[in-house]
Order: sequence, then structure tokens, then C-alpha cells
Amino acid sequence: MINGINVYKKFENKVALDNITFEIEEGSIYGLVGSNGSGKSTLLRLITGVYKTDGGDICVDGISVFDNPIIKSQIAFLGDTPYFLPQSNLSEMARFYASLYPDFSYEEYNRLLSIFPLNPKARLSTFSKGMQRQASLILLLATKPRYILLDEAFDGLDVVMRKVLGNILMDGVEKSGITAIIASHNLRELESLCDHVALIHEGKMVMDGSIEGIRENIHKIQVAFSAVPETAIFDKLDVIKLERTGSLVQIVARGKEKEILDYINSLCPLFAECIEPTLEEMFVYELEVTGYDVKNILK
Amino acid sequence: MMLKTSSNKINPTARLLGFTIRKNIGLSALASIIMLIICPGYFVTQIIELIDIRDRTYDAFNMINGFVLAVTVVAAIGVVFMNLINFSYLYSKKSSDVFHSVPLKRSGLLFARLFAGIISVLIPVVIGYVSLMLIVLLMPGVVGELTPLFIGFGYTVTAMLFASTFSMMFIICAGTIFDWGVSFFGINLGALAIGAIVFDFCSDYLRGFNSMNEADLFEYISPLYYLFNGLGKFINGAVTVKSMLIYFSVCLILIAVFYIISALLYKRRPAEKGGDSFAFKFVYTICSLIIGFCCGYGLGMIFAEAEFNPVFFIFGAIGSVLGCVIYGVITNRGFKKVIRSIVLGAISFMVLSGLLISIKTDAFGYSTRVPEKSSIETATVTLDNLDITLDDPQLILDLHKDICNQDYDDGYDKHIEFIYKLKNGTTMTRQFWIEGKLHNDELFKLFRSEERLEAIEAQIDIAYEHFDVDYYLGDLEKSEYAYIKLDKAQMREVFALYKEELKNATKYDTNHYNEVTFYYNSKIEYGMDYTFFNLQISDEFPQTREKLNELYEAFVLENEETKEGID
Repeated sequence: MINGINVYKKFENKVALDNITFEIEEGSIYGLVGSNGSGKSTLLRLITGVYKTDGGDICVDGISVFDNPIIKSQIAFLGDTPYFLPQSNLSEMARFYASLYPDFSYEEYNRLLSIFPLNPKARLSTFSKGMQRQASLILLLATKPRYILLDEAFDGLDVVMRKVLGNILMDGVEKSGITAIIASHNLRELESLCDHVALIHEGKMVMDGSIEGIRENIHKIQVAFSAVPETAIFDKLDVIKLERTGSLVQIVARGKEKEILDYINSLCPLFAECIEPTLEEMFVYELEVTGYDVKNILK
Repeated sequence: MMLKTSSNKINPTARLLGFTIRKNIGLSALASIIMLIICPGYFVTQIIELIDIRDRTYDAFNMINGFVLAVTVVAAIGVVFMNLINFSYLYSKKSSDVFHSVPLKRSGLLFARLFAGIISVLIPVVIGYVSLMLIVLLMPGVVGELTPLFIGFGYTVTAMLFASTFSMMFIICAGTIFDWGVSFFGINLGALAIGAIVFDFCSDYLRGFNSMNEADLFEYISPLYYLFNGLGKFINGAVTVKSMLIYFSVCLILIAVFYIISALLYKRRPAEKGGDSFAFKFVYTICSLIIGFCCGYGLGMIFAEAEFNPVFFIFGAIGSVLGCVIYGVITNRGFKKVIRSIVLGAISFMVLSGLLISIKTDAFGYSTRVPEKSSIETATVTLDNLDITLDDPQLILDLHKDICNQDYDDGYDKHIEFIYKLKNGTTMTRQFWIEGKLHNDELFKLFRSEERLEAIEAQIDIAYEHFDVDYYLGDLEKSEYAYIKLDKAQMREVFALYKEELKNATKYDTNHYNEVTFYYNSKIEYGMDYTFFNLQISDEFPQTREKLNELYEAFVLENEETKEGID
């Protein structure tokens, strides 16, 4: 389990992370969402022990990460731009990682090489951006990490490779109990993959929870009435948003789906149906209530 | 595809060390090839040629010295270069991410990458030394000792460790290669420049300042100067076993200190500073202050035409601020921190002017300080390059006080140095240019002292083989110049006459034309020290002078005969 308690980090005079507290469960795929410069990458680097916190602490299994090789040997981190040793090829980089990670597996490396078709003897500098990212993923996954942290994980990957990576991660979570933390500015990208999502904005964690929990708690219902009732009639529900278009009413409310539907049906609508909102919509609904300029955050 | 598993039994630091050495092996191989071309390749062909020409044996002493000097300097530069390669990841965010996320403590990273660089350079160095040892041992016609080579190897390895750990501190503090270069060269050269400025100023304005030891004082300012000055002394043969042991001990202590500082700095180095100007701002501040100090002094001196006057202060202030602003603009890539640069410039100018004023006014009483007799262990005065130590230091103290109390404007003809070994374990030295006639009483007592004669005798005893003697003869105003080569027996004859005539001397003569200089070699641990002393042989020493003239005529005659024989 990864815990962050009052994590504070600033660069010169700019506060990058402002006392954020979070908890990442073992065996989950945790999405970090936020616009550019929100603090996602900084948080990943703090979790990996690349950066040192200026306040608070980040612990893995209760142990502080910074300058701790035992914990770091269980963490694999891929930054937004892959880095390889000068003039190196994939085989050489594998030797580099094998020299540092005690659990590095050439078996896994070779298995992944068969999935991502890359020439291990070709210079990595000649690879395209997507191929370089694939090469980095092969190396990191071969270290057999307990935690894998990916910054803009799908950047540069084609649709097929995105799918492959998604499957590898889910497979890792399922079979090996890997915990994946993926930072992205694209919420839609994470929707199908993550079971937890946190939203960071201007160094603050404005939302954090399991997708299932968010989904269970927020419902979007479309209702049609022959005679549209007064808005106040919906006050009995925990309404987040209500829109009226003629006789059609769209309600977003918190609570159990059955209870909400039962109440609406008791108002004798022409029809009432529950539509599953997208993750982005759920974030928008939640954050609008808290007063954040959501369009600005998720742009 | 072949299946392998990683071997994880070895410590990851050792594995990274091995990996980095393998990664650098190309450079090591290239350097080794160049080394083999030079030694044995070039050396052997040169030796064969020289033996053929001279048809005799070849003394490898100079070759060994040259080799040690060149290899040590190149190896020291080499390890700094390797450090820059191995730690270049510090200067880029993406490489910094990779290296700082791997499961190694920063101390492990530092150790592995630093020693990988040293070992990579050590490979060609060892090849070179082994080749040279084989030449000395096995090559027919070559005469030489292995001891200087082993000691030389010690100097080379020490220099490598020293340069590597010393440069490491600057590499860690910098955020880019450019700023490493500025801080490394700026601080080291700047420190020497400040030393030179202060010593120069002290020599000009601080009476009693011992400028003869300036070169040694630089050793306290610049660690690199200490390192290479020590090497230079070894190459010149000006070392003893004791001085070498002290040198190596100091170097090893400094290496340990530099390494510990590097490790502590690295542990605290913010990884996010890769690509920024400096990871630690104090380095920028030090660089600015040094630049401000030097620029202030430089501009002040140019405009004040090397005088210490108000013009110096006006342009000194402008120079300090301008230097700091220019450096700040380059380092910060713009004018955004210009106020800070101006403040640093002002501080550096205040330090410069404060220091110079305190020297000029002798604010700390340096020029007039004379130790208490009760605090002195031994007192030595150096007169005519003879170290005269008196059992009773009172005469030396009287002379010193007399010099301090004398108000000098211009005119001096004698150099004198006082060396007091104090009971608290420290040494106090003062050096003056004086006008002899103003202190004739004390000087004459010294001139006639038994201790002075013993000092001369001691010089004659330690001299190796012969003396080269210079003096003026004939019409003194025409400055006719004589040179004689005296063996030790002849020297003793001259000295016996001198001693006899000294008994009747009435004054200490300071006339430059009566000065006779005796140069000689004295054997030291690894080589010779060529030194001298002077005797004032005035008209009160007629027999001594006559003897010298006689020896001179014989020497000239003998030389002419030899020359004719050769012709």
C-alpha cells in the first residue's frame, strides 16, 4: 500500500503539491488525472523516490521511499519521456536494469519482446517515440515490479499497442498483484482501465475514489412527464444537477439507483430511465458542486 | 530466444560499477592504445636512437620524470572528464528520473559511477607504468631505478583520486555542464587570482610580509595547486621522505573530505534541478563574489593606473557590480535576477576594499609585531641567504624592533628575514628590505657572530662536489664579472682567510659590489637542491679577495688551455 500524508512539494516559489493526502490500495490500477502542470508527474516522482518531499511523507508499506533501495526495487517508473543510456540498444539496457533490479527476469524480458516486436540489437535512438516507449515498458515490466508508475502511459502508442499495454497491466494486476499508477491528462483514456481515479488540480487533490464507488453513488436519470412538475418536488433527492428541456427532465443525483428510480416512478412519469454517465461527466458533476471550474481542469 | 536470469547475488552498487566500467571500456581501450604507442612504442625507439648516437648507456631518470608528470596531469584531467560523462545524467530531467528511481542509494550511485571513471582511466595508466618498468628492467643499455616509478605511480593514483573527488563536488552542485565549467574553473582560478591580488598587495603595502613563501601560500588557497605543486616538487627532486609522507597524508585526508562532502551534497541534491543553473545556490553566490572581487580589482587597477586612490575605488565598485551582473545574466539566462547580482557585486566590492584598506593601514598590526622573548623557542635570521640561529634571541629581537621602528621611505640594499619558532608550536616569519647602514650596530654583531660562521661552515659541509662563485672584480663601477669553480678544499682555504680577516673587521659592509655569491648543489632525498649564500668581501678582507683573484686567474688560464686543446 502506498500512503501519502500531507505531501508538500515546491519548486523555487511555485507550490507543486499542496499538502495532499492519499492512499493507494495494493493490486489496483490508480489513475491520476489533471491538466498540464497540475502536479501529477511531481507526485509520481515523489512516489518513486526521485524527488524528496518538502513536507509530509510518502511511504510504501509504511516505509519512506526516498533513498530506500529495498522499496525502490519494487517500483518501476516510466517518465513522460523515455531515457536510455547514450548509444545503447535494448539488450544493453536490459543488462543495465538487470544489474540494478534484483528481480529482473530475462524470461519476462524475452516474453515481452515477443509481444512488442522490437529489435533488441538496434540503437534505441533510432526508434520512434512509440517504439521507445514500448522498449521502456519491456524493461520496466521485466524488473517484476510490485508497483508500476507510468506518466502519460499511452502517449505515442498506437491503438493496438494501447490495447496491448492495457491488457498487460490488467493481467499483471490480476495474476501478480501489481499496483499500477497511471498519470494522464486524458480521463477517457483511463476510464476503461482504472479502478481508482484521483483528480489533481493546482497541486491539490480535488477528488479521489474508486470508479465503482463513484458510479454507484452518482446516477443520471432521464424522465419525461406529461405535465412537468415543480422543481421543488425533486428536493427529496440529493440532486447534483437538474436540466429541463420541455417535458424532459435530466437529473443527476447521488444515492442508490433503485431508491432514486422508485421515487421518480412514484411521480408517475411517462417514462424514466437510468443512463450510465461517463467518468468525465461524473467528475464534472462532482466538481461543479465543489465550485471548481471543471472545464478548465479537464481541458 | 535465449533465456537468462539476472545474477543478483552481487551487491547492486558493485554491479553498477562493473556495468559502468564495461560501458566505458571503449574509451579505456582507446586510451590504452595511445599509451602503448607512447610507452613502450615511442620511448623504445627514442632510447634505441639515443644509445646508437651516444654509443653508451641511457639514464632513464629524466624519461621517468617526464612520464610521471605527463601521465599524472593527463590522468587527472581524464578522471574529471570521465566524471562528466558518468554523471551527465544529473544535468537532464529524463536521465535523472531513471538514475534516481533505480534501487540504489545515492551514495551507491556516487561510489559506482565515480570509481568506474577512475578505474577506466587507471587501466591505460597501469599499462603505461608497467611498460616503463619493463623498459627500465629489461631493455639493454637502459640504466634506471624502479623506486621513482613506484613513487610516481603513487603520485598519479593520488592525483586521480584527488581530481576525481574534488571535481565531483562541483559536478553535483551544478545543474548544467556550462555552470559546472564556470564554477570549477571560476572558483579555482578565481581563488588563485584573489590570492595573487592579496599577496601582491601585501608585498607592496604590508611591511614584513614574507613574499618569498607566496608559492607555498597558494597551497592553502587552492587544493589543485597543492596537488600539482607537490608533484612539481617531486619531479624537481625537491622532496624528502618526510615531506612526501606529509604530502600523501594531506592528499588522502583531502580526498576523504571531498568524497564525504560529495556524498552529503548528493544526498541533499534536488533531482529536479537537472538542467537548471545550479542545484545549490551557494555555489552561484561564491562564483559571483569571486568574479566581483577580481573584476573590481582589475577595473580599479586599470583606471587608477595601479595606484591605490579614489579612482581605484570608483572603478573598482563599477567593476565588481558589472562583473556580477554579466555573470548573473549568463547564468540566469536573462536579467530577471539582476538585483541579486548587483547586491552580490556590492558585497564583493566591500570585501575587496575592506581587505585592501586593512592591509594598507596595517589594521591588524602585522608589520610592527615582534614576539616576546619569553614566547620564543628558537629565533633565526636569514642574512645573505645564511640562516643564523642564535642561542640568545635578544640580538635578533633588537634588530627586528629597530627595523619596525625605522620609518622607511625609499632606499634599501639588504634583504633580511626573521623566523621565530614559538613555544605554542607556531612559526612567525617576517621579511624586510632594509638599508643596512641604518641598523649597522645589530647587523655588525650578527656579522661577527660565531653562529654565522658555523652556518657558513655547515653550508660548505653539505655542498656536493664544488662551488660556482660569482663576484665583481677590477673596476667595480664597470661591473666586471668573474666566475670561478672552486672545489671544497679551495673553498675551505678561502673561508679560513675570511674568518681570520673577520676578526679585524670594523663594519658590516652592504656594498653590492663587494658581494660574492657561492652557488652549490646539496644532495637531498630524490635529487639535488641548487642553492647559494653570499659573503660581503670588502676592502677589510684583502687577503680573501686576493686569494679569490688568484684562483680566478688560475681558473681562467686552465679554461683557456682546455679550450685551445679542444680547438
